[in-house]
Formats: sequence, structure tokens, C-alpha cells
Amino acid sequence: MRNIGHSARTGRGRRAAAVVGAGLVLALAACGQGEDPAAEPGDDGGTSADGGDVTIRFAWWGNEDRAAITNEAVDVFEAANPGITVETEYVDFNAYFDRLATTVAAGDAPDVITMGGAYPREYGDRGALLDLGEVSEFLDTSTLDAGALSNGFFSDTQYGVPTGANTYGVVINPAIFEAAGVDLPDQDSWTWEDFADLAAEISANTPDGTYGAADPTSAEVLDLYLNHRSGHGLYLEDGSLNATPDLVADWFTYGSGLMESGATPPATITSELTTQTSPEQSLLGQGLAAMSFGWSNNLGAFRDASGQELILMRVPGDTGENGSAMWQQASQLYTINAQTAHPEAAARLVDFLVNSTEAADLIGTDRGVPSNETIRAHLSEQGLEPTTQVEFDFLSQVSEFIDGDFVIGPTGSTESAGILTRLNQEVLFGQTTPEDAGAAFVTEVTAAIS
Amino acid sequence: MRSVVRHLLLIAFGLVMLYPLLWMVSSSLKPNDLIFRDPSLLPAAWDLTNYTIGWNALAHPFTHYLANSAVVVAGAVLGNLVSCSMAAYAFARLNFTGRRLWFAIMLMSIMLPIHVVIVPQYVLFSELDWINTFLPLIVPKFLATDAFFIFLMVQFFRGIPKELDEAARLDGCGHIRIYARIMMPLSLPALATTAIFTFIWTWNDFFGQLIFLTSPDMYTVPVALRTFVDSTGSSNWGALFAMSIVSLIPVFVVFLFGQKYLVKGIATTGIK
Amino acid sequence: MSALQELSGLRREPDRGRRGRQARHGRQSRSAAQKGDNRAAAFFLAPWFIGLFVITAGPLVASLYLSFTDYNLLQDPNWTGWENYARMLTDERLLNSLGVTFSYVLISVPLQLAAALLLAIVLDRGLRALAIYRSVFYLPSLLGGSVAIAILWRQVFGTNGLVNAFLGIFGVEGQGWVSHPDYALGTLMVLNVWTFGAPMVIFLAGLRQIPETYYEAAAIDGASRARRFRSITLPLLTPIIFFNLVLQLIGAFQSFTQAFVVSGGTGGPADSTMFYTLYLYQRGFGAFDMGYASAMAWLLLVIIAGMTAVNFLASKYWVFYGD
Repeated sequence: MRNIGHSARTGRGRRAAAVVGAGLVLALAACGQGEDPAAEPGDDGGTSADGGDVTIRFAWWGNEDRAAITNEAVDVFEAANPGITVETEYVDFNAYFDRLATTVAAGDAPDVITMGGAYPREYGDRGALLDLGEVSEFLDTSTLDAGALSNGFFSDTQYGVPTGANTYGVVINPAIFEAAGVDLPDQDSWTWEDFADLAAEISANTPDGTYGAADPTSAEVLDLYLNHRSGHGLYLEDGSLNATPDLVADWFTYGSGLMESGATPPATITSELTTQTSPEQSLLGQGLAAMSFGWSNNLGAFRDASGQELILMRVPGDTGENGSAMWQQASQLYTINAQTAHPEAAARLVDFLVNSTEAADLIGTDRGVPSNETIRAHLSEQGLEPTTQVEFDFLSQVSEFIDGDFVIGPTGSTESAGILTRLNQEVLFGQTTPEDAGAAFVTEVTAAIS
Repeated sequence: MRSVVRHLLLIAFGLVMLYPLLWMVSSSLKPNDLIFRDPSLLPAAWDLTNYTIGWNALAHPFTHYLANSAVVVAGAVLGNLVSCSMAAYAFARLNFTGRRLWFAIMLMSIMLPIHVVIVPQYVLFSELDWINTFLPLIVPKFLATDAFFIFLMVQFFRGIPKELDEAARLDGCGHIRIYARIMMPLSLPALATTAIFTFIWTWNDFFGQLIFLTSPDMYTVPVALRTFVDSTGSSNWGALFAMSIVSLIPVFVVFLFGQKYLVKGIATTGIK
Repeated sequence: MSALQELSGLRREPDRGRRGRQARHGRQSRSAAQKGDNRAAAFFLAPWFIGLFVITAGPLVASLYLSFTDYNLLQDPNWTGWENYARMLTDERLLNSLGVTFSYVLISVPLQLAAALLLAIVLDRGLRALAIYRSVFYLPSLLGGSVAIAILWRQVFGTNGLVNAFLGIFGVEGQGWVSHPDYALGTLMVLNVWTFGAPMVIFLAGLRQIPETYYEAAAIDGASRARRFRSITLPLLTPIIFFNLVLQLIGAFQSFTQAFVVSGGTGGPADSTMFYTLYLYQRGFGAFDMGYASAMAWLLLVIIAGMTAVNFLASKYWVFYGD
């Protein structure tokens, strides 16, 4: 079988590389390099089933623990697929995406690329990712939960496979509730007003420096809030913006109200925390906040950091008139480079990672709770860590309320989080009013996604 | 008495300068979960666990990354010394056609931010099949791409009296001999300056090493340090601080022993 | 004439004029010498030329070309003419980043040079253990753009940081300096001043250059310390001050790492530490707007080149050359 990706690589990608290197052409010719655009490293190794040796590159972000278990899983994959060698590449999140942009631009990206957030769409809609339908022979996606799978489906194409699912909730430190003499909320009925009242009460009843809640403003929470208010999140299915200036202004009023009542910390602390995002540095991780919004898969890290038995609860307002706003989000997605010389080998690796119990035994829930039901059952049988059990339970509890698919932000929407953070800071520091910030948010995000 | 006061003032100021570093040392001796919860400067117990963990936490022992950095730094230092001094000789001593223009072009090349040239550079190096080798980090230094040091050495060379090489020319010396026998020995201190600054800056450079070294086996110290932190999950801060301190030691030692050349350095070139 | 006066790079070459005059007397010998110099220059500059044309010029030209396109890193660039440049004029965040960068450069560079000069004078001579002090004061510069800087800086200027602890002694309640829009840029300026090691070393060398005999003569005349500093040290040091100024200015305009690390790449709070290069990076790598980022880079190049030229011109009036 001639590999599918080759034509793509000699086509668009090569052209882009050639144009970028316009100024280099002469020099390259002088060095006796680059004269033959057809001479690609991948050219000589077809991914045939009869076993020509191929090497593929697999990249992800994360810390060293993740690297250790993933490398072990890759070793198992290599042993089961003697013709395939996998080179792994990993670095921390920000550095990962800088490097990815550079390598994709230069036509030298890894074959299997881990994606997250709105990035898959940024890359997919610009032709950098392989339509996984082309390799469905080697990569079975029918085993995966539809809700999680939809995270990798956009522009009528399945571009990504979820590594696992997460959901969003309120992480709660019961010890602080107890110290403040405040009862835990009822997650099946509490409203945004309840959240504000509880947080203010806790702040008042605890020593200075301990707060009822961390500042809740984030793209995820805004999405939930808008959904509760209007029935739709930040974006509509067609990729347009659903947020209106009024609704966003209401959110900013709510958020700054929390700060003024003392429920959340002063602006300087909130702004300090936006640049220090690891669980250890958060108020919750330091044991200084009773409540904070967060992803379910970070529960373990928050527990380790605070040394407390933190618990997860459904977000407030989720039982209002517009129903639940909850979604299951793929914590990460595996995607394949559109220009890969070895789509079959790449697809086999992804299939192994999401569909095999061997991989699950090593990777566990490191990249979210697996979206393959058989794998979940397998992991449960093996016995789960207590924290992981809590995550499993919470996810299955929340999944009962999930209605409809998760709307993936359109191209350019990766910027919305930064825009929101900046405007929120301006509101909290009193540099602008919630109304102006709401209008600015809509204007700026509209510009970013157009 | 006066000098005692000066010492006291210097020590006090030194402590202010060093406070963040002292905090880092202290944090490297605390358990990971206490680093942000316990702000005290003196750790409750002196615990070297972070060092042993950090040393072995990555795919290779930390010596592997130190060695990679050492290779890159050695190549960069050698490259800058040879190529920049050659170019500087031409700019300082040869009256060739278009010298001013070339000099301006050289200065201009340090004025463009790296982020817009990194992609074309990557294309070039990947065409040469140099990605994931140390070549993109070393070969350019042999091609005098660090214009900063050319500029620096031009200034040093100009300080060496012209009479010396004119006398040598009368004795029949060519430019190569003048460069090798007169300029190089006389500007030894300038070379030391270049070597030490190249050492420190290359040792700390992150972006180039991140982009061109994709395989974790090839990681240098600055890139390897990043793998202790993960902004999306839990991070090993204790190990990060411990290994940051370990990686500071070589540069500190180089500076401690090199500074006397730096200082002696420029002064001795001013031969009257 | 000393090496350090030459360090300024300003010195016009009187020998050039002399040569020109000589040439008029003997055109023959001049062109022969020029030919010889050209040949030798070709040899000595060979590595630099290869580097310039293969490694430096290609990407430089490519970025200039891309600045006229809608290049988004992932797809073929399309020619858009001056559109990127026109967009810059109305980009409020870009104008803000220019303001941030200029105030950073104009305030922190002189402060850093002053700190470097002061410490160089103190650490020049006449004390024990100078090597240790110099190394200790250089140490912060060694940290560079380490990830640890972000944490360290919060430890000093954060809500629970050292500065507030110090203010607390006097009963003043501080705030989170590093995270307040009005003060965050200030803490980055302090960070820049804190890393004064490199210019300090060059000043130290400059001080060593001043002949001891000048001071001895002044001492015999009964000049005070302050007077000796003003009439001997300062004038003789102007070439070095100028040299440091030019290089620090170029460096400060391109400041990126410290703001990136301290603000977690955001340029926050509320864009108050959004340096020009940080915004450029965000446009290029964050928003895939590399065509625009390239145009920004060329605007920056023009600004830096202009500032450097102004510097060279202005130096005529204040840089003193001894001979």
C-alpha cells in the first residue's frame, strides 16, 4: 500500500515550506541540498502491512511522570508491532505549542500529535490534521463514547480521538466549610446566588487570607453561566458567538460583586493567580479557598497540594430553567499529522493508546477518564485509587445530566480565554465597567474568530 | 574601620540581591507541597530529597542534560571565538570595499526578534537534516552569526596600536600571521570576555534549544528543567528548584574564575 | 588612545581620511592596497558571509516578504500588500505595547546603568574579597529567563512577598505589586535593574583603564573625592557609558523573556506588562498571525535602528575622547 500522506506532504506543505524559505533557495542550492523536493525522508519507508520498518514521531505535553508511563506504553506497542519504531517527544504545555506551530509550519511535525482545548480546530480547519476517516481501518472509534468523540469532530470531519474525558465542577474543601460553621451546599439545587452567599459567609467566618471562593472567571465558567442564562454557551453550533454584551456584562457584575463582598480575594491576588496556574499555587491547593471551579481530572493534584480530602460538586445553577449546561470534554485529543508519511502506523498507535487494556494498565486516567467503556470497566476491575474513584463517580453522575454535544470553539477562539482574563482584570481593578467590558468582550472575540 | 563599614554595606546589599536566590535554595530543601504553603526562609529540616529525586526524575540522570549542555556550550564558545575574531579583524583592520555598509548590516542582524525568523530557520535546518542534532546550535556560531561579539571584538581590536601590525607588515608578515601572532595573543582578554559571555548565554538559552532539539534524549538543561513543571497538572517544584540550583553552579564557577580575566582583560588591551 | 574609548564604536576613523589624502598622491599604491585588503577581507569574512547569506539573510528576507502576506504558519501565504502595516496603525493593543516598551526602556535602562556604574566604582579596588562580591552581584544575571524567576519575583513582590513583609514592619499595608496594573511594569524594571551584572563588568574594566597618575595629580591639587569623580572618572568613562547604553537599549527594546516568564506569557495584568515583542509573539504563535507579527518585527527593527542612529549622532555632544 502506498502511503496516503505522501501526496499531501509533497503538495501543500512542501509549497509552504518552499515559500517560507524563499530567501534560502540560492544558499541551499549552493550547499547541494534541497534541490529535489521529492526527496523526503519518509519516501523510502512505506507503511505496508507486510512490514517495512517505519519510524513515527509521537508528541505530547506534560510532566515527567506522564512521560514515564507513556514511554512504557509505547514500548509495549513497539513489541506488538515489530515493524514500527516510535520516537517520543514531550515538553511542558506552553513550550509544546510553540514548537508544534514551528514544526507544522516547516512541514516537519510529529506524526501523532496531542491536542487540547480549541487547538484541534485551529490546526484542523487549516488543513494540518488528517481526516481520521481515511485510516478507520486501523483506528476503531466506534468503541468510544459519542459525547467525548464529538470533541474531535468538526467541519464534518473526525480529526481527533479523545484520550479521555473530563468534566467541570466545583472543587470543595469541606474542612474550611466546617471551620466556618457553614453547611455544604446541596449540589442538586444550588444557584449562583447561593454560591455567592456561601462564599461571602465563609470569608467572613474564617481568618484573613482565607476566602470562600477563588475568582470564578474563566472561559469554561462563562460558557456554563451563559448556558444557564440563555440556553446556549459561548458559541453556537454554526461557530458564531452566542455571548451578548448584556449577558457578559452581567457576569462581570456578578464576579466583581463577589470580590466586593469579600467572597473572593482582592484583585491583586486574583491577578497574581492567573499567572500561576499550577494546582500547588492555587488558593485551593494552598488550603486558602473553600471553593474553586476546576476540571475533574485535577482533583488528585489539588488533594496532594492541599493535603485535604477535597470533593467535587456540580456547578451552581445547573438545575435552573434552561437545564444543565454541563459537558463532557475530552481532556486531550490524539490527532494525526495530515502530512504524515505513515498514516497506518500512526493510526495503529492511536488505536493502541485508546482501545487497548495494555495501554490503559500503564496510562490509567492520566489523560482523563478513558472514553472507551470496556477500558473503564477494566480499570474499575483492577481497583482504583480513592481519588480516581471519586473522579469516576463524579463523571458518571454528571453524565446523566449532559444534554447535547459540546460546541467546539471556532478557529481563532483560543484567544477568547486571554481576552476574558484581561477584561476581567480591568473590571476587578476598576479600570472599566462591567458594561464596557461586556461590549469589549463581544467585539474582540468576534474579531478573533472572523 | 572605613572598610569594615563598606564590607557591611556590601554584605547587606548582597543579601538583598541574593534574597530570591536564597529563597530558591530554601525551597529546594522543602517538601513539594510545603513550598507554597510555608513561606518561611528557613526550612524546618534540611532535606536533600529534592536533589536526589530531581537528579533521577527525568528519563536520564541529570548528568545527561548537563553533558548535552556542555557539548552545545563548548561548540558555541569555540565557534564564536574563531569566527567572530576573524570577522572582527576584517572590520577593524582591513579597508575593504563597502566596509561601512557591511558593518551596518551586521548590526542590523541583531535587531530582529527571533520569533519571526525561527520558522524560516527551522525550514533551513530541517532541509539540511539537522533537526534534533546540536548542529543548528553550534554551526551558526562558527559562521559568526552572533554579531554582538563581532562588534565587541572590533572595539577591542581597534584599541591595539596600529603601529604593531604595521611594523609586522614591514617585516613581511601577511594578514593571517598578523591576526594569529599579534592580534590574538594581545586580545586574549577580549577572547575571554567573549568565551565567558557565550558560555553563560548559551547555557541559559531556552527558545532555540527547545525548537531545534525535539527528542528528550537531546534535551539540554534549560529544556529539561521545563519538564518538571506542567501548567496543566501537578508540578515537581522542589525538584525544579533543586536542579535549577545545580545548573547554576557551573556558570557561577565559570564566572568566579573568569571575572579576573574580564576585568584585567579590557584594561590590558590598551597598550600605549 | 585606549581600547575602552574605542569601545564606544563612535570614533570616526581619522586614518581613513588620511588614507584618502594619501590616495590622491598615489592612486596606484592605494588601489593595490585596497585590492590586497579586499582579498584578505574575503578570507577573514568568509565564515561571516556564509552565515549572513545562508543563516541570517534568508530568514530576514523571508520575514520581510511575509510581512506583506496573511501567513498563518499552517497555510500558504497570500500577498496582502500593506494591509498588515495599515492594521498596526489602528491596533490599540499594539500602541499600548509600544507605550509599555518605551517607558520600560527609558526608565529601566538608565537606572540599570546607574546601578552598574555605582557598584563598579565600589567594587573597583581597595577591598578584600572583591572577586566574591563581583560574582555575588553578577549572580542574578546568571538566572536569565529561568522559570524559577516567575516564582522568585512573586516571592518578593507578591501579596505575601518580602516587600510587603518589610513594609509591614512600619505598619504600612502593602499589596500585590507584581499583579497590580499600576505597579507590575515597575517590578519588571526592578528586575532589569537587578540584573546589572554585564554592564557592571564592562564598567569595571573601564575604571581600570583610567591611569592612576590622573588621580595622583588631582590628589596633590587637593581635589575632593566628588570633584575627582566629576572631572576625571566621569569624563573618561563616557565612551564606556555610551557603549553600554547602545547595547542595553537594543537589548531592552527586544525584552521578552522576563515579562513572558513573570506574567506567565500573558503580558498581564490588563496588558500592563505587554512588551512589544511579547505582543508580537502572541500574534505570531498564539493567534497564528505570523504575517502581522513579521510586519511588527520590521517596525521594531526600524525603531531600534533609528534609536541607535540617534544615539550615535547625539554622542558627539557628550562622549569625551581623551586623545
